[in-house]
Amino acid sequence: MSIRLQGVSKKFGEVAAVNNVSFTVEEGELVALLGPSGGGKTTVLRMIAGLEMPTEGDIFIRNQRVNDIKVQKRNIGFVFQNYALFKTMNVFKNIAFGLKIKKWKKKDIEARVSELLELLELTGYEKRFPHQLSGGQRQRVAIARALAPKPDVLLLDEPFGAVDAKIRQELRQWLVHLHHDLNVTTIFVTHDQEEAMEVSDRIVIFSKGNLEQIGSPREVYEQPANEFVARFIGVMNVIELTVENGAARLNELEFPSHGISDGQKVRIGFRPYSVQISPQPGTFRYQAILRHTYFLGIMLRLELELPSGLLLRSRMTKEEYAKLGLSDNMPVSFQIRQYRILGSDSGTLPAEVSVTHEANAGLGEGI
Amino acid sequence: MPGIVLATIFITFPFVARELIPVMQAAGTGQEQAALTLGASGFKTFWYVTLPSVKWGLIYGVILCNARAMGEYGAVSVVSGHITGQTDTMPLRIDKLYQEYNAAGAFAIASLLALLALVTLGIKTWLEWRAQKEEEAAQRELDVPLPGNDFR
Repeated sequence: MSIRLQGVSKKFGEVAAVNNVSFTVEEGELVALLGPSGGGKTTVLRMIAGLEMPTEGDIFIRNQRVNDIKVQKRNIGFVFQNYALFKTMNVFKNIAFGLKIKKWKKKDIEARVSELLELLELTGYEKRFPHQLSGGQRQRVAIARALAPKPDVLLLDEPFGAVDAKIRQELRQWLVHLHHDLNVTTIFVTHDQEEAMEVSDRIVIFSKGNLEQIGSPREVYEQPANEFVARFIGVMNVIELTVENGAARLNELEFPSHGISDGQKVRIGFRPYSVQISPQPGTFRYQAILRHTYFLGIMLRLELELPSGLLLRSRMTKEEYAKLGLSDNMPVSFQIRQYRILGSDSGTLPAEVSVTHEANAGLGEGI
Repeated sequence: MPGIVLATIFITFPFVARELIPVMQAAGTGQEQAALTLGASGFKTFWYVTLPSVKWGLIYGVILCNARAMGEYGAVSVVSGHITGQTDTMPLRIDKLYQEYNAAGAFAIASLLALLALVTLGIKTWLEWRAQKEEEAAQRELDVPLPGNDFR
């Protein structure tokens, strides 16, 4: 079911938690609401559910305005951050609750619950109480309970916040598969950009109650709409330069001024994969020492130290590293193939990518 | 008679509230919100979710309430009017009989009151025992091995 927000604002007293937000989620999509804590993303989710009322603006589910429709009638499934399982009921009764309320027949309830127990790999646990389950199991019971009455929309508030890193990884994959199998429109809130990139079809990025950008993981990564998004999504080298004599400079680094007048500051960002390294000191324009190599599985992160002491990050695959014959504390040369102007003192500068050489190396894994 | 009830309620209800408020505060509103998203009305949410979660607190409150109501003297004495057989409570009757030098009658009723106190204590102990048994039964189920599961 498509969901549409139109000019939605929410104020708690004088504090604006959400500021004039509009976006659409298409039928069957898996969308992440991403942003730092306090960004307003949970409030947006709760407004879609009907647990909060917007101060201004309209919310549409299936092209029907739902502002005046109570939470009970919206046919949504909501998974709370702390799961909020009914602690006096066992797993079976938790999952069956929504069906009992909807007055399903006992036989149908039993069939539906065992179907969900199987889907969520919880068979055998139906008689346990919530306090006898691990975090990951509680999580799955909460999802099963939300899915039981066949909601139009599944809403998840920080679904993987309360479980440890390894289980979180598994649960992410598992959510993608679940979404693929059920094809129910799903919106989840997260503050983890990696999680949003990995799991969702599209990402809605919030900061301080404002919608900063909406797009596919690739779009927000490659074409961030503004400085906030560029810094928030993925790893980026960010440097602040001063324009002197028609060029932006920081120590030995030099960039074109892009029309910014002398004496003003400009912030430039570039992804680690844009830093191209050569083992021969003369190959590229800038010289540096390869200080340290971090092994991140198939990708390596390299830390370059410039003569002025400035540290920059680069990355490459293990194969490239071996081919170039690099090692720690080796003098190298490098160039920046692609960069982005993030902002400047004049403030009017649009964010844009400048490609110096070949096209972008592409979106690899590990960000 | 309504005066006695009112006065007793006034004296005893704070005991129930004192039992329930911390329990409810600790539980928060998460479970109630979850029930709402699953389509439950306000009353059903209260009946199926809120009430069961404060069940033991409520029962303790009622027992304390009962104990206090049986023994209450001061507030009831002020409002009752002391009409024998109509607006008497046990402590009032004991006082009246004692004032009339009917020591045997006073002690008889006092013994009955003491017996009721013991019965109340008995009920409380039994309830505690039951609550504990419920917990143990739930715990025993845990010892039964369950099918393996990768992500716990």
